Amino acid sequence: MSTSLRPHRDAGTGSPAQRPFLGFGLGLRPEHYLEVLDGRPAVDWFEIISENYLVDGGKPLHYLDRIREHYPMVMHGVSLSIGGSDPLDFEYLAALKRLAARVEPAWVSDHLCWTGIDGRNLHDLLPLPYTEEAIAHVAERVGRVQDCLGRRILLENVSSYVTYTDSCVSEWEFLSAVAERADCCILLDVNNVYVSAHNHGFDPLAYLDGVPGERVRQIHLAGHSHHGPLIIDTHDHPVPDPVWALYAEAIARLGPVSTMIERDDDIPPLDVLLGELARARLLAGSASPPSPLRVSCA
Amino acid sequence: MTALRDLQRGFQARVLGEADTLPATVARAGAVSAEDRMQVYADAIRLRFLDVLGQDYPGLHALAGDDRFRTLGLGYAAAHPSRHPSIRWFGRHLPAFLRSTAPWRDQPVLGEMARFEWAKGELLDAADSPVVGIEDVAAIAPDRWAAMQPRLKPAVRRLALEWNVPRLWTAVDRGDAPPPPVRMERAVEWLLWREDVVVRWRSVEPDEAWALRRCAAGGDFGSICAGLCRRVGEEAAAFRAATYLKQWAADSVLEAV
Repeated sequence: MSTSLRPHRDAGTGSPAQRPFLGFGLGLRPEHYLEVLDGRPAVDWFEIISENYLVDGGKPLHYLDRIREHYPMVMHGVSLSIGGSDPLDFEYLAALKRLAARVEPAWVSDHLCWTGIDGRNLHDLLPLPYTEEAIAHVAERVGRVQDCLGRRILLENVSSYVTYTDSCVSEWEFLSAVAERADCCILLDVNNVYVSAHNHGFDPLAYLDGVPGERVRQIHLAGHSHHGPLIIDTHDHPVPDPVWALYAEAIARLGPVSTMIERDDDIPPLDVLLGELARARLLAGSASPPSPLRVSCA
Repeated sequence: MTALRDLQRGFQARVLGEADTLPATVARAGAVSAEDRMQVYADAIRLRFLDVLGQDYPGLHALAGDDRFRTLGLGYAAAHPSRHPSIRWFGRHLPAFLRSTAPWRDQPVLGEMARFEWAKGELLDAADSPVVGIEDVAAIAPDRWAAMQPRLKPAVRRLALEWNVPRLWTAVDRGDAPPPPVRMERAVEWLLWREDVVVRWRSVEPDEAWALRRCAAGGDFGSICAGLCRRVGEEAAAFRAATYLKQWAADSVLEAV
């Protein structure tokens, strides 16, 4: 394995006290462009889906630039396929890097998963086996991605519905091993922890206890749907009470972490999401500093 | 990496319906069968592809109806797997697929609607560019007009449509029932462009369509005037050419002259 040891230009890892804290954010969705620009809602930052802005010009970049003038942003990708067996797509990474130069995000994230093989993209976040082979494979690729982007990235835990017989460690041990070996950070999706814990019968608190807290830079909160005995990560409902409860447990363990509501379907009026964000602020309350610390854009 | 690659090939084939068997290492224990668990992925992938086609092609969806749209969407997804990092490009081959694949090729209005909608979508995020306005044209000295080279900006498309597709699309967009598809006696040329963040379109007469083709081919204004002389006669040509140029500037479809 040849993970790069070159330092990357970002806020780095360290104690939770050194963690950059952006405050409480939302996923930026086209449905809310005008309301955000006209009303300047009390959102500390926005997360963009990187792929939606890998275009030549026009409407997406028009609104992106204007909203960026007023809000910090982070970039969240869905197509890195860091666990995929196809070669890394350096054309995609170059486009991502150009977008990062435009947006100057606080950080860039994607998912600990694979999205297709043999040139296909299934546009879904598919689960990896938790094996030494996969840890080494992903860590090596993260190193090359970080070298290419010139910054440390965040990897997000995904919801999953299947497990593999050759997995030799738990999901949180897998996530931790990849993050430590690749020296990357973590985007902890609390809803995904809850969904996978339900679907696979593990203790979500053991997950929270198992992740290296000093590497967690961001938290996602979202809703889900029940389909028979399984829970599906649909992002089309409000954050449910059990996920709020798990978020409180996460904050109690991690301290203040930049937190956002992630809604991708059946997108409600902005006020509804602001209400959820207020609940996140309240829950995080004692663990959060009085006002967000604005980090410089790495 | 062999085990991981084998797993991913087997997983992908299974969720795309190209293989019946589960990858060997998918766990089979538990109250929910491995088949049902894998089906969650298969369903999500299929729904995502249909959903993005529905977003890109609402007019086609309305013309085809839910069941046929689902059938054509799944057929398209099987024939043209996504190979781009962004799902925004997944539907780009749909117009050609509908034109060339039975039974859709026998209903050409579907392919034309897809072509119109994809062009609209392309315009929404086409490259930005400078725009030549009326005042810019007015500032050009008369002795320079013949050498002018009107250039269409990147966010411009020209389509020849045989069906009343723009009218059908407008009805669907308003939430009205689309009127019956009508095939024109001859194809009508349409000019589509993006103005700020809004896509606009209008039909163009054959002489203007010819002049626009000359612009796209790199012709200068003098050659456009000469061509119009042959088409409409010497007396009308200069006035016609000037009218077109002003209209293009008013529509903001030129990036340079």
